[in-house]
Amino acid sequence: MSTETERDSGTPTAREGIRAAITPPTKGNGGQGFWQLLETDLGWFGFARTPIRAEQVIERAALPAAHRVLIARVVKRTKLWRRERADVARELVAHFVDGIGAGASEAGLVSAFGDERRAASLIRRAKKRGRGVVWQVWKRGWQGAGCVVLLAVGAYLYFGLRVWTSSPSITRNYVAELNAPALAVPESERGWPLVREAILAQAKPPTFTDEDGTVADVVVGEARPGTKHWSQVVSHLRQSERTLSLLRAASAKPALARRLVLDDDRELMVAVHGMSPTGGTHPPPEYPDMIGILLPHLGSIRQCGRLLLADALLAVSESQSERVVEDVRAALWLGEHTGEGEILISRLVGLTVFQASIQVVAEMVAETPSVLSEEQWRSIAHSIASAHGGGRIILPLGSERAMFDDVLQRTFSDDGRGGGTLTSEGLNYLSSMGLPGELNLVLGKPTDSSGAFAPIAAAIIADRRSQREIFDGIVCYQEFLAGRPLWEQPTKAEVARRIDGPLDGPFARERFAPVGLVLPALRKVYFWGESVTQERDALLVAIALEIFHRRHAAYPASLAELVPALLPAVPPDRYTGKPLNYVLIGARPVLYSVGTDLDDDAGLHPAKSATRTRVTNRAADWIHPAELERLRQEKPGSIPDGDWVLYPPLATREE
Amino acid sequence: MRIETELMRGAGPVAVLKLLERGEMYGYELVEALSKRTSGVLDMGQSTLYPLLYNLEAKGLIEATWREADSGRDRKYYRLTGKGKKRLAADTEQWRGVIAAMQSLGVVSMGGAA
Repeated sequence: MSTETERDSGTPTAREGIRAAITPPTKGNGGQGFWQLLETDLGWFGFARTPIRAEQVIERAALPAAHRVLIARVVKRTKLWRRERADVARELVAHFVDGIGAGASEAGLVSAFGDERRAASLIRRAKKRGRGVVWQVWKRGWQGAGCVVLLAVGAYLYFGLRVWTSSPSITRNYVAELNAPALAVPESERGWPLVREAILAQAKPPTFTDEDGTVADVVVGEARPGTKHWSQVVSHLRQSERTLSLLRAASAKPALARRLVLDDDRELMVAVHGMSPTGGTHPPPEYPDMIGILLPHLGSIRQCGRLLLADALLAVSESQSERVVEDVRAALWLGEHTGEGEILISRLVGLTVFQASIQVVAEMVAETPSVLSEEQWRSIAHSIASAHGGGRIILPLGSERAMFDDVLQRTFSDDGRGGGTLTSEGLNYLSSMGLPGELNLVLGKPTDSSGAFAPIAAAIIADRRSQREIFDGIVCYQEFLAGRPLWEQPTKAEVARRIDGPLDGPFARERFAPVGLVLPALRKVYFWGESVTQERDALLVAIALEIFHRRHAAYPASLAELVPALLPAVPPDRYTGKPLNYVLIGARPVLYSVGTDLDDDAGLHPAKSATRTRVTNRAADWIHPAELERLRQEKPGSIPDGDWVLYPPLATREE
Repeated sequence: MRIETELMRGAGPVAVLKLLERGEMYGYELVEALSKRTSGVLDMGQSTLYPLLYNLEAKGLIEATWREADSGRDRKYYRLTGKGKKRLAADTEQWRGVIAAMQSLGVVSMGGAA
């Protein structure tokens, strides 16, 4: 029970209790924080009406010690700013004074007060809610920053745990699967041993010079009889007789049957590609990396094709028809079989050789048709028609799918249901392949990629299932496009939306880095296939026209007259789907597609102009009719006015 | 009868706003009024009342002024703001809806609890 004396002034014991209860713990500069420094005994910036310290308020209160201690404890527990504590103390003092004034007992008031801890907590919360906007913003800012940091740390640990604890599951040897068909070919039927020997025999590239002795930039297959360096090319062909013989012999084999290898053919690598002969060979890994497959033979095969075609031209000039047929057949064989195994890049190189072959043959038909007999022309025509499976030239994407599967199995874990997460080994693997710029910035050097930055990369790079979905979506659409002729192709915008769209969003290139690694520029490949298809079709018609001319001493009035004796059907103009266009100009047959402008210009090639250097007007220049009209209006003159003249070939006609 | 904390959390602020509708009051006065006028049902200790008042003040529903009373004592008087009046009207409407719903369910009758 308090005494009146205590109530008036407070006993030393009570005062000490109040001081102990009300004084905040000191630290540093005595507990004077920024907000406290703004306060003085006179209040904020000196404007105050009441004593500022809660301690003073309580000490001066005419209350029993028990009340003052209670108020002091509550006020201390609120941990509010000094001014707020003083205000709370003042109100609680007023409350107890009112209670006593109303006749309530000291103990009764204490009891009615309730739980002091809860009171302090609720008061603190309520008072803070009433603070100014600046403080609220400052507080929310810190809370927000704290949340962001917490989330970031949580995400880092989550992704870190995933990337550091998972490992890739490499279970399929895709290289072995692709090699299986080649290995199934009996050794006696393989062309590769002969081609390999031919490459080794031709290891040293020829050097051509101008009259002043400077080295000339001459491509063997592109030199023509009568041109400046032809005599040097002829000399080179004479020295390459062994290579040519081997290539002709190889073309008698049913398959090239070259295995995909890493670097185990050291003799070839040393002879042709300058690899150090002292380097040790490594045993082939159990699961070779498909992306790591070396295809050094492709460049050599292209040179072999050029050599054969140059020799065919030489044989024409020497009227050696059998050699012409053998050389052309060998070149066509190389073009056909280089793509075995369906590695896309091999198919493309093979198509290059095939395209060069049909161009040389077209020149022969146009300029020196009499060198070959009708039977020989028919034989060459059959070889050309059956190459690449006949029909439209479509480049299969099976190997690209296998390559992507191989990248996935080296990069992600495998949950057995098509899902999986990025692994640190996979990150190193991707990094060593070269990733999009932003990811490389994050990962740094490949050796660092499984370290501290791995969780960041793991957060960016999408999981295995998403990678496959995006890849499949794009490749399936590419295959859908490849299955449609040029005249049924959708607009460029639609194609871009379906093919480029999935990789165009923010960080999409980084998220789908594995897709970007494998996915080639298939759109250009498609147009190229269409171009070669059209050029081949035109050549077959040209050979048929030549034979018709021999039989009838005149060209037919229409291509329909060639069917069915010399052609199974008139091939389509790949721009329109209508029959290929045919006209006689100066008693010479001209075969053409209407070309980019879709307008029949009677077989006239687009003229060169100051504003337009592109005059090829081939399938690769195709523009969707809907976009064509817009381009005509927006950029008059940008569309070449003329046809895509397929025969006679450019090299043999006057511009 | 004391009511559950959850119910008090909903009823307390409305009760305080209603008391202040007639005019300004100080803390102890509110405690007493709540206890007497609700027969102790909405009896709340200071540990509940003052945080409640500070909350209402922070929300701008009431405002406080320190003033010397006739007795010479310093008191903090609370009064309803315009915003508080609107809130009181809205809360009153809601409570009427709740009571009507409870009546239709038979939880309370016109004369009191069922």
